[in-house]
Amino acid sequence: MLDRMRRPRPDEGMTIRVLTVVQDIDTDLRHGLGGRGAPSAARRLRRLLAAQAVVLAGLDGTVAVAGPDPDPDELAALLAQTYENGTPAHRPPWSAVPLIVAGELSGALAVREGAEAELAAVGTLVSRSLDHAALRRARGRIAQAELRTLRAQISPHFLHNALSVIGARIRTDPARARTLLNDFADYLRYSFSAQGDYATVADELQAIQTYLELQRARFDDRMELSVRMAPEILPVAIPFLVIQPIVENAVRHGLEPKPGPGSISVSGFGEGPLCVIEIEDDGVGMEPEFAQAILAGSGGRAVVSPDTGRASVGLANVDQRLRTVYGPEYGLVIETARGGGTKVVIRVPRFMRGVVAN
Amino acid sequence: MSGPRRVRVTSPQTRIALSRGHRPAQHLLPQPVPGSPDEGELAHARAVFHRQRRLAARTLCLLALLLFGLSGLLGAAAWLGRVSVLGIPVSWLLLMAASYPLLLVIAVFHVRGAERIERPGRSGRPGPSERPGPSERRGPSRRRGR
Amino acid sequence: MTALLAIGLLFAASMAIGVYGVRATRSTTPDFLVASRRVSPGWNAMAIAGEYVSAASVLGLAGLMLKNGIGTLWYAVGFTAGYVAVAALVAGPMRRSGAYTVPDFADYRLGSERIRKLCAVIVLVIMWLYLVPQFKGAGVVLHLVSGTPYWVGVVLAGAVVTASIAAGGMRSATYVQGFHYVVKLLFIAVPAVFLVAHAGDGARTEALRMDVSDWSRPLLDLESSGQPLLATWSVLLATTLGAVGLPHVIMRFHTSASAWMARRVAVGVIVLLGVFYLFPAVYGLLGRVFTPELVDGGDTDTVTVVLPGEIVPGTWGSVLTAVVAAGAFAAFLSTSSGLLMALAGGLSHDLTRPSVPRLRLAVAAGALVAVLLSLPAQRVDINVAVGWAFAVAASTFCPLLVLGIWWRGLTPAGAAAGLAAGVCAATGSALASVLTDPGPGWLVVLLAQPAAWTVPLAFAVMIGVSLLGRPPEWAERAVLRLHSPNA
Repeated sequence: MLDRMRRPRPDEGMTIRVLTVVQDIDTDLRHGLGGRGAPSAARRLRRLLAAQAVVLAGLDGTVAVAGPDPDPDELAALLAQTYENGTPAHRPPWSAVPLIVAGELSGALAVREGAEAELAAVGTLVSRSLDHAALRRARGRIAQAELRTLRAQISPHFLHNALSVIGARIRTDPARARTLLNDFADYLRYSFSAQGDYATVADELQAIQTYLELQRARFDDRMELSVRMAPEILPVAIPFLVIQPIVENAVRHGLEPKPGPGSISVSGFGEGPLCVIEIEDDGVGMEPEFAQAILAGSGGRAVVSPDTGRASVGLANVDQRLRTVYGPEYGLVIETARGGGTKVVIRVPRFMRGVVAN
Repeated sequence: MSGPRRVRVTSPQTRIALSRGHRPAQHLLPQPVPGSPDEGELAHARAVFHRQRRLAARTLCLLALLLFGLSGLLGAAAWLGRVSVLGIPVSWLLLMAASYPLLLVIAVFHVRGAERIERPGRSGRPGPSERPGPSERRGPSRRRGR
Repeated sequence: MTALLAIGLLFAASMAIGVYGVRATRSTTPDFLVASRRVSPGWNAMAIAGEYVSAASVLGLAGLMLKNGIGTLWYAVGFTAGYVAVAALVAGPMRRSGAYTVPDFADYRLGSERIRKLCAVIVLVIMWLYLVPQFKGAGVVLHLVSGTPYWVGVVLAGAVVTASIAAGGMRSATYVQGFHYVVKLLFIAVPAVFLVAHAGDGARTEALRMDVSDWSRPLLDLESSGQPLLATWSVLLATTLGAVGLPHVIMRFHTSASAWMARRVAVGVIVLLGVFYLFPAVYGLLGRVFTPELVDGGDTDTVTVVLPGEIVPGTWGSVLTAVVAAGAFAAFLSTSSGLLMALAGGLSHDLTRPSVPRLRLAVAAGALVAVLLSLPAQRVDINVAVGWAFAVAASTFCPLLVLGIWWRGLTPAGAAAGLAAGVCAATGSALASVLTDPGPGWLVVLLAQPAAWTVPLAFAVMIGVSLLGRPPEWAERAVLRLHSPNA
């Protein structure tokens, strides 16, 4: 064992150098064959292959050359031959290999006076890098698409409750029913509005107000409510509908199972460059392990509460959206205990590139 | 606070990210490109920008004229110190009180000008088309990159 | 003793507003939000003025005036004129960018993490330069009213402001700062009127006597250079353009609901500053008659607090002293809380990853450094040090914001080069002017107040280096969005 570790490795420095070059090429090709890094990648490939000239050609006509410029006709013929068959082509002193990314031809790597055995291996390497780059770009798009699908899921539970509360009051208190119906219409318009992914804190608060008015009617006003907002944070942009699901969670899982009156407080303030919003209720609370399970479960998979037998999708959804938009350190913080109420804290930067309220 | 002691809980990702402390920022979302890509709107936005820039330049020139002019005047015209109004030398009075109202006037003129440029439906606008109402405009203009 | 009581009361009131001032409304009315929808532009303007009117204005202006002459008032003119530039150049566009801090703006406009960090470092430089005179002011005032040594006052002030932030004293910063503006205005204006009335005819005439001395010359000179016009212009350039780039004040515009509102708020600030700056001159003029001995002692920064006791003896005198001391303390408290929050934000958010304990830690660390820097600064004139902070802001963030907002061609490389050139040149000259004495002439002016050359230098470097490169293709849209009425 010890013996093997001591065995001299004459090519150690070489290995590190080659691996570094490979990594650099991968970074250069981050924006594809037409990207800004392509000429730099061609230069690195030229050094790696010790060739006279290296050409990185994209199928869309972009060409990055390192070394003396090739004769255009000669290069065109070589590329045409490569593309035609999708196999390595030779027109001495040039040779070329096709670059196949995810099963599709996307360009070619041509070399003048280079070793052919190495060319094939390097061609595969470049293809992998391009594939990697495409996947990286796709990941961003997926995150964005996911954000859109996660957005604004109004719970059917709430729709049903709201309509039955209003229905119950149409006879006994038509005026209130009318106000509630208007509130409900406002709320629906806000939740369905397709204007971008972000809203200001003020807009969000407006939506909660409507929601809470409806809930208070259901609770026959035995729910006390207080909102304390520092005005500095009202114009801050945050992801659409992040406060409301937390308030809804507080009502459904905190106050509904609790006998007697309950209270909810929503407060917000600036903390240096951060904007902090706290939603606290004095309801039944939950097992910290259960809260942990909700947040650990990703996105759509619902964790069913052992007490109420109901799922709590809202919190996990908000948590995931916050992390997607702002990064992992800005996830939700839940402070809870069984029988001790719940406090949920949203803490996000006041400014984040790209987060702009419409 | 009554009842049992609450426990602080976060998602595992958040817990790890917070405990790891310093690390380079990484954006999961693609870096957005600000602004709207609509060509017509672009031409209009350019026109607004140029008018605002002219206005700002004018205001800045006025401000420089006031500040450097007044100080130059007080430096050059020593006789202003020998004249006095209500017992106060005129040059002191100019320095102590006269500049503030003038500054205010310059600022008010600028703000009125800037708001006039921004006001919708103004005639003589150098845009490619009549500007639609604000509610229509807002619909297609996504500010986020795609 | 009365003064300590007044300061204590002021501090308690500030804490109460800071922690509980967040408007609370019970659910009895359906429109519980209407009350807290938006900050009114008036409050916002008062908050900005409150954060902006620092010990430099309350103590330093009268002090430097007593020492150097009437021309010192050009500082006040420049401080106010800065808001004309703010209204015209940055208020609206800055609000539209959504950026809260200057590093945020750099991120929005240039999309570069490195420039964000560079900006954060410059924020630290400006904030510390600005904090030192504030702490000096607090140390001097506490020394005067309670007889504690200077260093005790500075340390105590550092502890008080750190504790108040840690306890949530800046949670509703807008209301605290607005309240402080009112306190400063009243606590300076009312005693001023009182003192003028009590000074007597002879003293009033004496105070307004124009003679042939340099003191009466309505231009400002620095370190007796003999180049008053150059000195005046350099100070004007620094104060006017520095106000554009002051990181802690720019943040306050984020509170405005819209760009339209932000511009109007800036105009409101001009009014509030114009009203305030009428009064420090009174202390300077009367000080020349009643307390000329302060000039020889080198304690001119104390004139505002000393004067009431000199003119009005007895109980009323000590009451007035208490009032003025409380006003000076309000100036210290509001400005240094704002400065420390901006500094801690940069330390905890831009330079490292954010978290709350670290924000508090950053506040404490920032205050500690400021206290240590202030201890040897007892002899530095408040207004001179503040002038340096303005000069650094004018030669770094002012070009960054102005070019970033009004010129599409700004590139990250250009911005970085200009910022680096500006911060090195401006801080270098300030240091050089402390350490060396080149004698009378224009050189001493260009070192003592370097804005006259560092601002053009920073602009030139930023533009020149930007022209060598190419801005990213989205740069134009990022700029146009700042001016688009429906953004």
